[in-house]
Amino acid sequence: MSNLSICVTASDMRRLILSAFIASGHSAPALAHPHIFVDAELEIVFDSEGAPEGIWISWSYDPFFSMLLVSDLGLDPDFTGEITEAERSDLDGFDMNWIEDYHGDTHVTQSGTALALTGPLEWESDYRDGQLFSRHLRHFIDRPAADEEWIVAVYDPTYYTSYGIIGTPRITGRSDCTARVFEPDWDAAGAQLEAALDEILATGGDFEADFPAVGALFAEEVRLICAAP
Amino acid sequence: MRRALIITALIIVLAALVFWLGGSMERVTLWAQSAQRGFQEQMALGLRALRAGEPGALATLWGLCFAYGFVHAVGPGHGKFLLGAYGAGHDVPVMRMVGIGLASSLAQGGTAIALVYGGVLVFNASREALQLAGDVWLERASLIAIALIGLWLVARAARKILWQTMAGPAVAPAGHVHCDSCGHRHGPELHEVQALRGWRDTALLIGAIAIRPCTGALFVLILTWRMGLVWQGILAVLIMALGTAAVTASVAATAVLAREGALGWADRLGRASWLMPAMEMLAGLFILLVALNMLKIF
Repeated sequence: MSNLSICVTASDMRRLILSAFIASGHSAPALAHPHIFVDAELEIVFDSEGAPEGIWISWSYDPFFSMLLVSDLGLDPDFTGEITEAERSDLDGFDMNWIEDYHGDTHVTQSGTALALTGPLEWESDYRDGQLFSRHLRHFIDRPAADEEWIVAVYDPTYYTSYGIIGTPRITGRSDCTARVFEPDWDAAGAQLEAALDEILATGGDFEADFPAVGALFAEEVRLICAAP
Repeated sequence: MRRALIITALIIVLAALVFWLGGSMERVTLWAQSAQRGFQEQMALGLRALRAGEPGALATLWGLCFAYGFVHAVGPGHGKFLLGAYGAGHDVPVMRMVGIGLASSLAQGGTAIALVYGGVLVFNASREALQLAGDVWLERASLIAIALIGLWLVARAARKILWQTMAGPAVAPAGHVHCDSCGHRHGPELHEVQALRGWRDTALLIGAIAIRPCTGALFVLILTWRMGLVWQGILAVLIMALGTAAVTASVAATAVLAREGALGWADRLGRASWLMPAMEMLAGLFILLVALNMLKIF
Protein backbone atom coordinates (compact mmCIF):
# COMPACT_ATOMS: atom_id res chain seq x y z
CA MET A 1 0.00 0.00 0.00
CA SER A 2 2.77 2.42 0.71
CA ASN A 3 6.47 2.92 0.39
CA LEU A 4 6.57 3.55 4.10
CA SER A 5 5.33 0.21 5.25
CA ILE A 6 8.72 -1.25 5.90
CA CYS A 7 8.74 -3.43 8.96
CA VAL A 8 10.13 -1.77 12.01
CA THR A 9 9.73 -2.55 15.64
CA ALA A 10 9.73 -0.16 18.52
CA SER A 11 13.05 -1.50 19.71
CA ASP A 12 14.51 -1.22 16.22
CA MET A 13 13.52 2.38 16.09
CA ARG A 14 14.94 3.14 19.49
CA ARG A 15 18.14 1.47 18.40
CA LEU A 16 18.24 3.57 15.26
CA ILE A 17 17.83 6.78 17.20
CA LEU A 18 20.27 5.60 19.82
CA SER A 19 22.91 4.45 17.36
CA ALA A 20 22.85 7.85 15.73
CA PHE A 21 23.85 9.34 19.07
CA ILE A 22 26.50 6.76 19.69
CA ALA A 23 27.85 7.17 16.18
CA SER A 24 28.29 10.88 16.67
CA GLY A 25 29.83 10.43 20.12
CA HIS A 26 26.93 11.89 22.02
CA SER A 27 25.05 10.50 24.93
CA ALA A 28 21.31 10.05 25.10
CA PRO A 29 18.86 12.83 24.19
CA ALA A 30 18.35 13.77 27.79
CA LEU A 31 16.03 16.68 27.33
CA ALA A 32 14.06 15.10 24.54
CA HIS A 33 10.53 14.41 25.60
CA PRO A 34 9.05 10.96 25.16
CA HIS A 35 7.26 10.06 21.95
CA ILE A 36 6.09 6.60 22.96
CA PHE A 37 4.06 5.87 26.07
CA VAL A 38 3.97 2.35 27.41
CA ASP A 39 2.05 0.87 30.33
CA ALA A 40 4.04 -1.95 31.89
CA GLU A 41 2.75 -4.82 34.01
CA LEU A 42 5.03 -7.22 35.83
CA GLU A 43 4.70 -10.78 37.03
CA ILE A 44 7.48 -12.18 39.18
CA VAL A 45 7.97 -15.92 38.80
CA PHE A 46 9.56 -18.17 41.44
CA ASP A 47 10.77 -21.71 40.79
CA SER A 48 9.68 -24.81 42.71
CA GLU A 49 12.40 -24.20 45.30
CA GLY A 50 11.10 -20.68 45.93
CA ALA A 51 14.04 -18.92 44.25
CA PRO A 52 13.35 -15.98 41.89
CA GLU A 53 13.37 -17.42 38.38
CA GLY A 54 12.23 -14.68 36.02
CA ILE A 55 9.82 -11.91 35.11
CA TRP A 56 6.90 -11.74 32.71
CA ILE A 57 6.85 -8.20 31.35
CA SER A 58 3.73 -6.86 29.62
CA TRP A 59 3.80 -3.74 27.51
CA SER A 60 0.78 -1.91 26.14
CA TYR A 61 1.62 0.86 23.68
CA ASP A 62 -0.29 4.12 23.44
CA PRO A 63 -2.94 4.16 20.68
CA PHE A 64 -1.17 6.76 18.48
CA PHE A 65 2.13 4.91 18.37
CA SER A 66 0.24 1.59 18.07
CA MET A 67 -1.55 2.89 15.00
CA LEU A 68 1.74 4.00 13.46
CA LEU A 69 3.53 0.70 14.17
CA VAL A 70 0.66 -1.45 12.90
CA SER A 71 0.60 0.68 9.78
CA ASP A 72 4.40 0.32 9.44
CA LEU A 73 3.89 -3.44 9.48
CA GLY A 74 1.32 -3.12 6.70
CA LEU A 75 -1.45 -4.50 8.92
CA ASP A 76 -5.00 -3.19 9.44
CA PRO A 77 -4.94 -1.22 6.15
CA ASP A 78 -8.41 0.19 6.86
CA PHE A 79 -7.38 1.57 10.25
CA THR A 80 -10.22 -0.12 12.11
CA GLY A 81 -8.22 -0.75 15.26
CA GLU A 82 -8.66 -4.51 14.92
CA ILE A 83 -6.76 -7.15 12.97
CA THR A 84 -7.75 -10.45 11.41
CA GLU A 85 -6.53 -13.82 12.67
CA ALA A 86 -4.16 -14.06 9.70
CA GLU A 87 -2.73 -10.64 10.49
CA ARG A 88 -2.31 -11.64 14.12
CA SER A 89 0.30 -14.20 13.14
CA ASP A 90 2.19 -11.53 11.19
CA LEU A 91 2.24 -9.44 14.33
CA ASP A 92 3.92 -12.18 16.38
CA GLY A 93 7.08 -10.95 18.06
CA PHE A 94 6.86 -7.48 16.52
CA ASP A 95 8.89 -5.96 19.36
CA MET A 96 10.95 -9.01 20.30
CA ASN A 97 13.63 -8.80 17.66
CA TRP A 98 16.18 -7.20 19.96
CA ILE A 99 19.54 -6.16 18.68
CA GLU A 100 22.67 -6.51 20.72
CA ASP A 101 22.79 -3.10 22.36
CA TYR A 102 19.10 -2.96 23.25
CA HIS A 103 18.84 -3.65 26.93
CA GLY A 104 15.10 -4.30 27.21
CA ASP A 105 14.23 -1.45 29.60
CA THR A 106 13.64 -3.73 32.61
CA HIS A 107 16.31 -3.11 35.22
CA VAL A 108 16.79 -5.35 38.27
CA THR A 109 19.06 -4.31 41.12
CA GLN A 110 19.85 -5.54 44.61
CA SER A 111 21.80 -3.34 47.05
CA GLY A 112 22.85 -1.17 44.13
CA THR A 113 24.20 -4.03 42.00
CA ALA A 114 22.61 -4.59 38.61
CA LEU A 115 21.43 -8.15 38.02
CA ALA A 116 21.49 -9.53 34.49
CA LEU A 117 18.47 -10.97 32.73
CA THR A 118 18.26 -13.20 29.68
CA GLY A 119 16.69 -11.91 26.47
CA PRO A 120 13.04 -12.78 25.82
CA LEU A 121 12.46 -16.54 26.10
CA GLU A 122 8.73 -16.65 25.36
CA TRP A 123 6.36 -13.99 24.10
CA GLU A 124 2.87 -13.12 22.93
CA SER A 125 1.61 -10.16 20.91
CA ASP A 126 -1.80 -8.73 20.15
CA TYR A 127 -3.58 -5.71 18.70
CA ARG A 128 -7.03 -5.04 20.13
CA ASP A 129 -9.19 -1.99 20.23
CA GLY A 130 -6.46 0.15 18.67
CA GLN A 131 -3.76 -0.81 21.14
CA LEU A 132 -0.69 -2.98 20.68
CA PHE A 133 0.16 -5.40 23.46
CA SER A 134 3.07 -7.67 24.01
CA ARG A 135 4.21 -9.85 26.84
CA HIS A 136 7.57 -11.54 27.25
CA LEU A 137 9.39 -13.74 29.76
CA ARG A 138 12.97 -13.12 30.84
CA HIS A 139 14.91 -15.27 33.29
CA PHE A 140 17.45 -14.09 35.81
CA ILE A 141 21.05 -14.76 34.90
CA ASP A 142 22.03 -13.35 38.30
CA ARG A 143 19.37 -14.34 40.79
CA PRO A 144 18.57 -11.92 43.60
CA ALA A 145 18.50 -13.18 47.19
CA ALA A 146 14.75 -13.34 47.72
CA ASP A 147 14.81 -12.42 51.40
CA GLU A 148 16.65 -9.15 50.90
CA GLU A 149 14.97 -6.23 49.17
CA TRP A 150 15.44 -6.12 45.40
CA ILE A 151 14.19 -3.63 42.89
CA VAL A 152 12.65 -4.00 39.46
CA ALA A 153 12.51 -0.69 37.58
CA VAL A 154 11.11 -0.11 34.11
CA TYR A 155 12.58 2.74 32.10
CA ASP A 156 14.20 3.73 28.85
CA PRO A 157 17.53 5.40 29.71
CA THR A 158 17.18 7.64 26.67
CA TYR A 159 13.68 8.66 27.78
CA TYR A 160 12.38 8.22 24.26
CA THR A 161 9.75 5.88 25.65
CA SER A 162 7.94 6.79 28.84
CA TYR A 163 6.96 3.76 30.93
CA GLY A 164 4.44 3.58 33.73
CA ILE A 165 3.90 0.53 35.93
CA ILE A 166 0.25 -0.45 36.10
CA GLY A 167 -1.06 -2.20 39.19
CA THR A 168 0.91 -4.21 41.70
CA PRO A 169 2.99 -7.02 40.21
CA ARG A 170 1.62 -10.52 40.40
CA ILE A 171 3.77 -13.04 42.19
CA THR A 172 3.58 -16.67 41.18
CA GLY A 173 5.25 -19.60 42.89
CA ARG A 174 5.40 -18.08 46.37
CA SER A 175 2.93 -16.46 48.70
CA ASP A 176 5.18 -14.91 51.34
CA CYS A 177 6.52 -12.00 49.26
CA THR A 178 5.49 -8.38 49.17
CA ALA A 179 5.75 -6.07 46.18
CA ARG A 180 5.43 -2.30 46.58
CA VAL A 181 5.26 0.08 43.63
CA PHE A 182 7.00 3.42 44.03
CA GLU A 183 6.15 6.35 41.87
CA PRO A 184 8.95 8.70 40.99
CA ASP A 185 9.39 11.75 43.19
CA TRP A 186 9.44 14.36 40.46
CA ASP A 187 10.84 17.22 42.51
CA ALA A 188 13.56 15.02 43.94
CA ALA A 189 14.41 13.58 40.53
CA GLY A 190 14.62 17.06 39.02
CA ALA A 191 16.78 18.35 41.87
CA GLN A 192 18.99 15.27 41.67
CA LEU A 193 19.50 15.73 37.96
CA GLU A 194 20.40 19.37 38.45
CA ALA A 195 22.83 18.54 41.25
CA ALA A 196 24.47 15.85 39.13
CA LEU A 197 24.89 18.26 36.24
CA ASP A 198 26.30 20.97 38.51
CA GLU A 199 28.79 18.51 39.90
CA ILE A 200 29.97 17.50 36.43
CA LEU A 201 30.29 21.16 35.47
CA ALA A 202 32.09 22.08 38.69
CA THR A 203 34.63 19.30 38.41
CA GLY A 204 35.21 20.05 34.74
CA GLY A 205 34.09 16.54 33.89
CA ASP A 206 33.10 15.38 30.47
CA PHE A 207 29.44 16.23 30.06
CA GLU A 208 28.88 13.62 27.43
CA ALA A 209 30.64 10.75 29.11
CA ASP A 210 29.38 11.48 32.61
CA PHE A 211 25.82 12.44 31.85
CA PRO A 212 23.54 10.74 34.35
CA ALA A 213 21.02 8.36 32.84
CA VAL A 214 17.92 10.50 33.31
CA GLY A 215 15.53 7.65 32.64
CA ALA A 216 16.42 6.02 35.95
CA LEU A 217 15.72 9.16 37.96
CA PHE A 218 12.24 9.46 36.55
CA ALA A 219 11.44 5.73 36.66
CA GLU A 220 8.81 3.86 38.53
CA GLU A 221 10.04 0.90 40.45
CA VAL A 222 8.84 -2.12 42.35
CA ARG A 223 10.54 -3.14 45.60
CA LEU A 224 10.27 -6.82 46.43
CA ILE A 225 11.09 -8.85 49.50
CA CYS A 226 10.16 -12.35 50.60
CA ALA A 227 10.14 -13.95 54.03
CA ALA A 228 13.44 -15.49 55.15
CA PRO A 229 13.41 -19.28 55.05
CA MET B 1 -3.86 50.33 27.66
CA ARG B 2 -0.24 49.86 26.63
CA ARG B 3 0.93 50.82 30.10
CA ALA B 4 -1.37 48.18 31.59
CA LEU B 5 -0.03 45.61 29.14
CA ILE B 6 3.55 46.48 30.03
CA ILE B 7 2.88 46.17 33.75
CA THR B 8 1.12 42.84 33.16
CA ALA B 9 4.09 41.62 31.12
CA LEU B 10 6.53 42.58 33.88
CA ILE B 11 4.42 40.71 36.43
CA ILE B 12 4.27 37.62 34.18
CA VAL B 13 8.04 37.63 33.71
CA LEU B 14 8.63 38.01 37.45
CA ALA B 15 6.13 35.26 38.24
CA ALA B 16 7.77 32.98 35.67
CA LEU B 17 11.15 33.68 37.24
CA VAL B 18 9.90 32.88 40.76
CA PHE B 19 8.21 29.77 39.42
CA TRP B 20 11.37 28.64 37.69
CA LEU B 21 13.69 29.38 40.61
CA GLY B 22 11.25 27.62 42.93
CA GLY B 23 11.85 24.41 40.95
CA SER B 24 8.31 24.13 39.66
CA MET B 25 9.34 23.67 36.04
CA GLU B 26 9.37 19.91 36.50
CA ARG B 27 5.69 20.09 37.38
CA VAL B 28 4.89 21.99 34.20
CA THR B 29 6.93 19.51 32.18
CA LEU B 30 5.17 16.65 33.92
CA TRP B 31 1.79 18.20 33.27
CA ALA B 32 2.59 18.77 29.60
CA GLN B 33 3.75 15.18 29.38
CA SER B 34 0.67 13.63 30.93
CA ALA B 35 -1.42 15.85 28.66
CA GLN B 36 0.55 14.54 25.68
CA ARG B 37 -0.15 11.00 26.79
CA GLY B 38 -3.86 11.78 26.75
CA PHE B 39 -3.52 13.34 23.31
CA GLN B 40 -1.85 10.23 21.88
CA GLU B 41 -5.12 8.40 22.50
CA GLN B 42 -7.37 11.19 21.21
CA MET B 43 -5.26 11.58 18.06
CA ALA B 44 -5.57 7.89 17.24
CA LEU B 45 -9.34 8.00 17.78
CA GLY B 46 -9.65 11.20 15.74
CA LEU B 47 -7.69 9.78 12.82
CA ARG B 48 -9.64 6.54 12.90
CA ALA B 49 -12.94 8.41 12.89
CA LEU B 50 -11.78 10.53 9.95
CA ARG B 51 -10.68 7.46 8.02
CA ALA B 52 -14.06 5.85 8.70
CA GLY B 53 -15.76 8.97 7.32
CA GLU B 54 -17.65 9.82 10.50
CA PRO B 55 -19.44 13.18 10.37
CA GLY B 56 -17.63 15.98 12.15
CA ALA B 57 -14.43 13.95 12.36
CA LEU B 58 -12.35 16.48 10.42
CA ALA B 59 -13.32 19.39 12.68
CA THR B 60 -12.61 17.25 15.74
CA LEU B 61 -9.19 16.26 14.46
CA TRP B 62 -8.26 19.83 13.59
CA GLY B 63 -9.39 21.01 17.03
CA LEU B 64 -7.29 18.28 18.61
CA CYS B 65 -4.29 19.30 16.55
CA PHE B 66 -4.57 22.90 17.70
CA ALA B 67 -4.69 21.80 21.33
CA TYR B 68 -1.82 19.34 20.75
CA GLY B 69 0.35 22.12 19.29
CA PHE B 70 -0.50 24.43 22.17
CA VAL B 71 0.24 21.91 24.93
CA HIS B 72 3.39 20.75 23.19
CA ALA B 73 4.69 24.31 23.09
CA VAL B 74 4.12 24.70 26.84
CA GLY B 75 6.76 22.03 27.46
CA PRO B 76 10.44 22.83 27.16
CA GLY B 77 11.59 23.80 23.68
CA HIS B 78 14.12 26.01 22.02
CA GLY B 79 11.79 28.17 19.93
CA LYS B 80 10.40 29.94 22.96
CA PHE B 81 13.67 30.70 24.66
CA LEU B 82 15.14 32.05 21.43
CA LEU B 83 12.21 34.39 20.73
CA GLY B 84 11.82 35.29 24.41
CA ALA B 85 15.48 36.22 24.79
CA TYR B 86 15.62 38.08 21.50
CA GLY B 87 12.46 40.04 22.33
CA ALA B 88 13.78 40.88 25.79
CA GLY B 89 17.10 42.12 24.43
CA HIS B 90 16.20 44.05 21.31
CA ASP B 91 14.36 47.13 20.21
CA VAL B 92 11.68 45.30 18.29
CA PRO B 93 8.02 46.24 17.82
CA VAL B 94 5.66 43.88 19.65
CA MET B 95 3.67 43.10 16.53
CA ARG B 96 6.79 42.07 14.65
CA MET B 97 7.70 39.61 17.43
CA VAL B 98 4.15 38.23 17.34
CA GLY B 99 4.53 37.88 13.57
CA ILE B 100 7.86 36.10 14.00
CA GLY B 101 6.27 33.71 16.52
CA LEU B 102 3.47 32.93 14.10
CA ALA B 103 5.69 32.64 11.03
CA SER B 104 8.29 30.44 12.72
CA SER B 105 5.65 27.99 13.94
CA LEU B 106 3.99 27.83 10.53
CA ALA B 107 7.37 27.40 8.85
CA GLN B 108 8.12 24.58 11.29
CA GLY B 109 4.91 22.89 10.15
CA GLY B 110 6.04 23.51 6.58
CA THR B 111 9.32 21.72 7.29
CA ALA B 112 7.42 18.66 8.55
CA ILE B 113 5.29 18.66 5.40
CA ALA B 114 8.34 19.08 3.15
CA LEU B 115 10.24 16.37 5.02
CA VAL B 116 7.45 13.80 4.82
CA TYR B 117 6.26 14.47 1.29
CA GLY B 118 9.72 15.27 -0.07
CA GLY B 119 11.21 12.27 1.73
CA VAL B 120 8.51 9.87 0.61
CA LEU B 121 7.99 11.05 -2.93
CA VAL B 122 11.56 11.97 -3.86
CA PHE B 123 13.74 9.70 -1.75
CA ASN B 124 11.31 6.86 -1.12
CA ALA B 125 12.27 7.10 2.54
CA SER B 126 11.05 4.82 5.30
CA ARG B 127 9.34 6.08 8.40
CA GLU B 128 12.38 5.42 10.60
CA ALA B 129 14.56 7.39 8.23
CA LEU B 130 12.17 10.34 8.32
CA GLN B 131 11.97 10.24 12.06
CA LEU B 132 15.70 9.92 12.47
CA ALA B 133 16.15 12.93 10.22
CA GLY B 134 13.71 14.97 12.28
CA ASP B 135 14.53 13.81 15.79
CA VAL B 136 18.27 13.76 15.49
CA TRP B 137 19.82 15.59 12.55
CA LEU B 138 17.43 18.50 12.10
CA GLU B 139 17.16 18.95 15.85
CA ARG B 140 20.91 19.31 16.03
CA ALA B 141 21.02 21.61 12.99
CA SER B 142 18.43 23.85 14.60
CA LEU B 143 20.38 24.06 17.86
CA ILE B 144 23.59 24.89 15.98
CA ALA B 145 21.79 27.64 14.07
CA ILE B 146 20.42 29.04 17.33
CA ALA B 147 23.86 28.95 18.98
CA LEU B 148 25.29 30.85 16.00
CA ILE B 149 22.57 33.48 16.29
CA GLY B 150 23.46 33.85 19.99
CA LEU B 151 27.13 34.26 19.15
CA TRP B 152 26.34 36.80 16.47
CA LEU B 153 24.10 38.82 18.81
CA VAL B 154 26.86 38.87 21.44
CA ALA B 155 29.39 40.09 18.87
CA ARG B 156 27.03 42.78 17.64
CA ALA B 157 26.29 44.03 21.15
CA ALA B 158 29.99 44.02 22.00
CA ARG B 159 30.76 46.15 18.97
CA LYS B 160 28.02 48.56 19.96
CA ILE B 161 29.37 48.87 23.50
CA LEU B 162 32.85 49.42 22.11
CA TRP B 163 31.64 52.21 19.82
CA GLN B 164 29.73 53.79 22.63
CA THR B 165 32.77 53.74 24.89
CA MET B 166 35.02 55.28 22.25
CA ALA B 167 32.58 57.89 20.95
CA GLY B 168 31.29 58.90 24.35
CA PRO B 169 27.71 58.58 25.49
CA ALA B 170 26.50 61.81 23.84
CA VAL B 171 26.72 60.62 20.24
CA ALA B 172 26.39 56.93 20.55
CA PRO B 173 22.87 56.01 21.62
CA ALA B 174 21.63 54.44 18.46
CA GLY B 175 18.24 56.04 18.77
CA HIS B 176 16.32 57.76 16.03
CA VAL B 177 18.77 60.42 14.95
CA HIS B 178 17.50 61.88 11.71
CA CYS B 179 19.62 64.01 9.45
CA ASP B 180 16.84 66.22 8.16
CA SER B 181 19.00 69.11 7.02
CA CYS B 182 21.43 67.18 4.86
CA GLY B 183 19.39 67.29 1.68
CA HIS B 184 21.33 64.54 -0.03
CA ARG B 185 22.16 60.99 0.89
CA HIS B 186 25.59 59.96 2.10
CA GLY B 187 24.55 56.37 2.34
CA PRO B 188 21.84 54.40 4.02
CA GLU B 189 20.08 56.32 6.76
CA LEU B 190 20.21 54.95 10.25
CA HIS B 191 16.58 53.84 10.23
CA GLU B 192 17.16 52.09 6.92
CA VAL B 193 20.09 50.21 8.42
CA GLN B 194 17.92 49.28 11.37
CA ALA B 195 15.10 48.16 9.12
CA LEU B 196 17.49 46.00 7.13
CA ARG B 197 18.92 44.54 10.31
CA GLY B 198 15.37 43.93 11.48
CA TRP B 199 14.45 41.92 8.40
CA ARG B 200 17.68 39.95 8.45
CA ASP B 201 17.15 39.10 12.12
CA THR B 202 13.54 38.15 11.38
CA ALA B 203 14.60 35.73 8.66
CA LEU B 204 17.32 34.21 10.84
CA LEU B 205 15.00 33.69 13.82
CA ILE B 206 12.29 32.09 11.71
CA GLY B 207 14.81 29.93 9.86
CA ALA B 208 16.55 28.62 12.97
CA ILE B 209 13.27 27.53 14.55
CA ALA B 210 11.75 26.17 11.35
CA ILE B 211 14.59 23.70 10.70
CA ARG B 212 13.36 21.21 13.25
CA PRO B 213 9.91 19.66 12.69
CA CYS B 214 7.79 18.34 15.55
CA THR B 215 7.63 14.56 15.86
CA GLY B 216 3.88 14.63 16.46
CA ALA B 217 3.41 16.47 13.16
CA LEU B 218 5.49 13.83 11.36
CA PHE B 219 3.30 11.07 12.83
CA VAL B 220 0.11 12.82 11.72
CA LEU B 221 1.46 13.42 8.20
CA ILE B 222 2.68 9.86 7.73
CA LEU B 223 -0.60 8.37 8.95
CA THR B 224 -2.86 10.68 6.95
CA TRP B 225 -0.77 10.04 3.85
CA ARG B 226 -1.18 6.29 4.28
CA MET B 227 -4.90 6.82 4.85
CA GLY B 228 -5.12 8.74 1.59
CA LEU B 229 -6.16 11.92 3.46
CA VAL B 230 -3.43 14.19 2.15
CA TRP B 231 -4.90 17.71 2.33
CA GLN B 232 -6.68 16.96 5.59
CA GLY B 233 -3.35 15.96 7.11
CA ILE B 234 -1.45 18.95 5.75
CA LEU B 235 -4.08 21.35 7.09
CA ALA B 236 -4.07 19.47 10.42
CA VAL B 237 -0.33 20.12 10.74
CA LEU B 238 -0.71 23.80 9.87
CA ILE B 239 -3.44 24.09 12.52
CA MET B 240 -1.13 22.33 14.98
CA ALA B 241 1.44 25.02 14.12
CA LEU B 242 -1.11 27.72 14.95
CA GLY B 243 -1.56 26.11 18.37
CA THR B 244 2.20 26.26 18.89
CA ALA B 245 2.26 29.84 17.60
CA ALA B 246 -0.25 30.89 20.25
CA VAL B 247 2.37 30.05 22.88
CA THR B 248 5.55 31.25 21.14
CA ALA B 249 3.94 34.54 20.05
CA SER B 250 2.72 35.19 23.62
CA VAL B 251 6.17 34.50 25.04
CA ALA B 252 7.78 36.79 22.46
CA ALA B 253 5.26 39.61 23.01
CA THR B 254 5.56 39.33 26.80
CA ALA B 255 9.33 39.61 26.53
CA VAL B 256 9.14 42.76 24.40
CA LEU B 257 6.63 44.45 26.68
CA ALA B 258 8.64 43.57 29.76
CA ARG B 259 11.76 45.01 28.14
CA GLU B 260 9.91 48.21 27.29
CA GLY B 261 8.77 48.46 30.90
CA ALA B 262 12.26 47.93 32.26
CA LEU B 263 13.70 50.38 29.75
CA GLY B 264 11.15 53.09 30.53
CA TRP B 265 12.14 52.77 34.13
CA ALA B 266 15.85 52.93 33.33
CA ASP B 267 15.22 55.96 31.12
CA ARG B 268 13.98 57.87 34.11
CA LEU B 269 17.18 56.97 35.90
CA GLY B 270 19.15 58.12 32.85
CA ARG B 271 20.76 54.74 32.22
CA ALA B 272 18.90 53.70 29.09
CA SER B 273 21.76 54.20 26.63
CA TRP B 274 23.86 51.70 28.53
CA LEU B 275 21.08 49.33 29.31
CA MET B 276 20.16 48.66 25.67
CA PRO B 277 23.41 47.10 24.43
CA ALA B 278 23.88 45.41 27.80
CA MET B 279 20.50 43.72 27.42
CA GLU B 280 21.31 42.70 23.86
CA MET B 281 24.55 41.22 25.11
CA LEU B 282 22.77 39.29 27.86
CA ALA B 283 20.11 38.03 25.45
CA GLY B 284 22.78 36.82 23.02
CA LEU B 285 24.76 35.13 25.81
CA PHE B 286 21.64 33.45 27.12
CA ILE B 287 20.68 32.13 23.68
CA LEU B 288 24.23 30.91 23.06
CA LEU B 289 24.56 29.15 26.41
CA VAL B 290 21.17 27.45 26.37
CA ALA B 291 21.68 26.21 22.79
CA LEU B 292 25.19 24.94 23.57
CA ASN B 293 23.95 23.24 26.69
CA MET B 294 21.16 21.49 24.81
CA LEU B 295 23.57 20.50 22.06
CA LYS B 296 26.03 19.07 24.55
CA ILE B 297 23.57 16.80 26.24
CA PHE B 298 21.57 16.13 23.15
